[in-house]
Amino acid sequence: MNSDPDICEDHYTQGRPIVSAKIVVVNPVTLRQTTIHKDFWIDTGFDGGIHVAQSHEADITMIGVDLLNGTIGVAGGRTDPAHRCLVYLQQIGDYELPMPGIEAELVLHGSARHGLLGLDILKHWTVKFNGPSELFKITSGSAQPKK
Amino acid sequence: MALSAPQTEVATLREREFTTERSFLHTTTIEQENYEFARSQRLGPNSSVDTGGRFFLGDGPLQLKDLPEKIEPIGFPVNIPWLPPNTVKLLNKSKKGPITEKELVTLMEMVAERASEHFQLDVGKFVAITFHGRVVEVSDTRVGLLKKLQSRKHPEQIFVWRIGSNAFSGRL
Repeated sequence: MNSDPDICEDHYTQGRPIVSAKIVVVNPVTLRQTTIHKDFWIDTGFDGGIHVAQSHEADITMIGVDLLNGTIGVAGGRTDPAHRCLVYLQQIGDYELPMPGIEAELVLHGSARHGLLGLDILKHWTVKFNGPSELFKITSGSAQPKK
Repeated sequence: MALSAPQTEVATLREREFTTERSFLHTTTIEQENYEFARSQRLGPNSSVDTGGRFFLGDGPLQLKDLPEKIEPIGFPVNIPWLPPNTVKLLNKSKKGPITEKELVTLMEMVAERASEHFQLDVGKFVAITFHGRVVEVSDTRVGLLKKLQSRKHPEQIFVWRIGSNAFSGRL
């Protein structure tokens, strides 16, 4: 019996485990903040935190947060320039995380419509994928091994 | 009961006082003689001679204003690694105008490689580096590094890097 509380459970969307989430960027000096609410693909192949399109750059710089330069490894082994900042994940599906949320890396790169939730976020939970039924389930805590 | 010093001790003390006085007078006389000698031979500064803040070396005057105000150390600064010519060339190009994405990635790769070698940074560490190779911040985790960096302004452009990797994060 698994007693871990459910965070989120949903069907795949177009064959992909996609979940809506709310992330907040805070300027630590002025305490101004901006919220990004969009759909994210649960991506176990991405070792970072949260990935969104470069077009969100204006949302973040308008509150006075300087984005950091850096690179990102993309599929095929290529390396692309990308921007980064610190972000708080505050809601996933209908589940609101305790304030201030989970601190994570936000990567701004590319132009994909969906964002990505990477392993640096997924390490906080247990995520189960039911491929044949096209279902996924996120629970908090560690799963108990079956006897 | 009244205290009294023995006569012999009083005599000794008086003798010491006298000796001290005589010695002081003797020294003063010698110093005065030395001063007079130096003055006559023009070996030292004299109140009647104004050198005008000049030192004389041989025949020509050596003026204080000729000396540099600050002595600069010769060599490379220790907090910035030596960058190869192609990196410096790319760095100068980026200062003059925009560079391509490929050039930017190449620049970051070269600077990060030089900085990690120069400072002997451990593989897996997350670092923030200036484009001149100065390490601004080091952390064990990517979130830890971003947290440190987000709370302050940086006078120079910086980039984040994971030592031993070709990117800070990405596809596995």
